[in-house]
Amino acid sequence: MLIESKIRELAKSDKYMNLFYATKELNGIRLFRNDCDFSRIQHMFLNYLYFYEIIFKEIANKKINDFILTNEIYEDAYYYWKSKNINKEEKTDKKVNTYFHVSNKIKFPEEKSNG
Amino acid sequence: MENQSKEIMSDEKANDLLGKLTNDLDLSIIEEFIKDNKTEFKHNGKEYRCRLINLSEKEELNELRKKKYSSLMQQKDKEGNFVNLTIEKWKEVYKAQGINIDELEKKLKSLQQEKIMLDLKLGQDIANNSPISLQKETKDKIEQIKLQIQILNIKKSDLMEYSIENQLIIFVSEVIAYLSLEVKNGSEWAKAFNSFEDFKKCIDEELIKKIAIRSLLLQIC
Repeated sequence: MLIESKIRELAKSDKYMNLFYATKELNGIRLFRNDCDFSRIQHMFLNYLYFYEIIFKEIANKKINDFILTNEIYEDAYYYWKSKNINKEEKTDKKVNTYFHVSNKIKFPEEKSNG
Repeated sequence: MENQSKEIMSDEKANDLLGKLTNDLDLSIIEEFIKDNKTEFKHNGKEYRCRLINLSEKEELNELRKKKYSSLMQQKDKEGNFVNLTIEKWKEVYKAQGINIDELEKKLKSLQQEKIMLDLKLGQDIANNSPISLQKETKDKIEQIKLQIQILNIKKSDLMEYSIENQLIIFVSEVIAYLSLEVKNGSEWAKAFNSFEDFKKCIDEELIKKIAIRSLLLQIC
């Protein structure tokens, strides 16, 4: 429990968030000295990097207040709620997109009769 | 009344233990370990390191664990009674003395369930940008439940301290510490102790403390 909090602290830091973005954008920048066979602690760290990436994106998009970062309990609760609601959000998004494309953008060819 | 005072003492002990653990772990050790799966330190002018154990060391660990398990299971006292008990057997012993571990586990489950419901409520409040005071109120409730869960878990592991399962966990962490510890000889790294028996004979408490903190990380791995 305690180690996990410390791992979170590292993952949440500007240093590692920036490094994480850089590794995704640029070749040659690495998070770990090893390229494969990641240990469990490294997997845990990676999970938290993705976790905080989502939280920071939600804050940047003004979906949530940055007050959430003041305590792990807020972060966990929001992430848990989001994971439980993500399927609902995806379904809603799909419906909206389908409606938009069909009504305004797509011109279906007229069917030609063979006769 | 007597039961109540016992309860309070136990909670204090549990909180004390949590506090001690928090103070001992340095962030830089974890950072170093995450980067490279190893961490170096100096002690009495020598350089040491703890690193992930390799495949052959894992096999050695497994062999030692099997031997230990077998000896724990078979160990008898002078009257021919088995000395060590499994968690299930301890539960029966405690039950006969009026301590119900199953009830404690049930309480833990119900607290965890309560926490999940509050997490979902808090998550929803955050998503809806509900007033901060409302979010803080739920957060405080979750904090209290988390503390209760931690205290109950510590109580449970305290009661199960001498179970075969717990003794095996302690033994494995000692073996991992022995297998992972190396000392620098010139430019080469070599095993710090020739055997597990030598490691167990080590009386340098400061060195053992340094290894123990680092072996916490190795156990996650």
